[in-house]
Amino acid sequence: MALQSSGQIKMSEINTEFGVAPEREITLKSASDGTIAAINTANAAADRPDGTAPHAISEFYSYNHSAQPPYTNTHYYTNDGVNDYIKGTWSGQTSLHNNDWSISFWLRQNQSSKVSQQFVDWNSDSTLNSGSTTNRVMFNYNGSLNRIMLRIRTNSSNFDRQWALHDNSSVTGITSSATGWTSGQRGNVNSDGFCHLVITYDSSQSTGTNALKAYWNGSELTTQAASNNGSRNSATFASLSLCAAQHSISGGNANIDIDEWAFYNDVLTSSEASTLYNSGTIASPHTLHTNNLSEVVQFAASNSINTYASNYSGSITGGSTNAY
Amino acid sequence: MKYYLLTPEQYNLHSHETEQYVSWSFDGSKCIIECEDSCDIQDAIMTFNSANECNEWRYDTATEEWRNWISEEDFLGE
Repeated sequence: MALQSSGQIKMSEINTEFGVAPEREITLKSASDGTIAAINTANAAADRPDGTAPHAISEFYSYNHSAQPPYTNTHYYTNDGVNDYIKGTWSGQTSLHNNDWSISFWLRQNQSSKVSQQFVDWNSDSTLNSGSTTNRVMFNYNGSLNRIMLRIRTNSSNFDRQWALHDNSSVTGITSSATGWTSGQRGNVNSDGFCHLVITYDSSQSTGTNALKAYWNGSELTTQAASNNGSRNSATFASLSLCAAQHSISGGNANIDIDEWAFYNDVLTSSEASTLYNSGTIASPHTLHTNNLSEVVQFAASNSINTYASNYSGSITGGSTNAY
Repeated sequence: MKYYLLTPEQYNLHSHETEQYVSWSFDGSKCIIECEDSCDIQDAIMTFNSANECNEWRYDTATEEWRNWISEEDFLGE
């Protein structure tokens, strides 16, 4: 906890902030120059002692000895599209069919030919290659139709909405259905080649058209290609795979890079989707929009995954994390 | 990285060449392994120099090869 920002500060309070005994002998000099404890430079320069004479109590205003450095996004994840995947236990919202939720992530398309690819795949069965397709929630790209689709499949009944990327070309930037979503036609992307995707699900709606929305770089895809309104049955989606379909890990793996995957326990608004797009600068959702934020999956050096709330235990198989 | 299409018998001979997950076709009659560029498997059914090459072959809609690797629902999205 930071020291107060004005007024009198007791020397014992400075000791406590440093994590040493309150009664420890202390001077302004020894506190300011790091003798008592190394000054945490994660604080802004104005909020930390400067170590130079003359020393003043005001140097300690707002100083937080436990301050964390601001988050910087350094790595993304690469999935090769042949045999790589991320898989783990999902302990966030598992009743995905009857609760509101949204996902947000960045994606760079690397597949040179128009190929169907799985981006996000929840399954009620945690067994790899189980073949179980009875209960799935999947977000994928369909190469043959050049569509993205969010499908909630329970007891083999499909509730979904599909958007053709070429029919929404003013938003996606993908104009040629023949070429499709490929590395040669990534569409509207940032300077690193990534687009930002948000999918929202309003469980109170009775049709796929009204329940599901998709945003590309913060703008909604308003032209729908198809939807299905099958019954939604009870299921527990406790296993989550990214960049592959868990029931068949040998096919449909995505040849993509992804970053900053996030799950929210509500229906993100258009304004919030735009906030997460952040004008094309990839940043952690926890620094942009935290209301109802349930999980963020981030990538770091040495093929490691960091999570925001420990709702996902995913690990990387085959793929790699890479520095920007 | 390079990718090789192998029969089960060839895989048994060359399994030491990869530490990656092995992609098997649905009927188990062939698999794709990922190896370092220095790896050289002469007797492979096919060799692919990249993931893109591999996927262009197995998901070519002019053939039915895709049915060996991906479900109709996942491939056609219907």
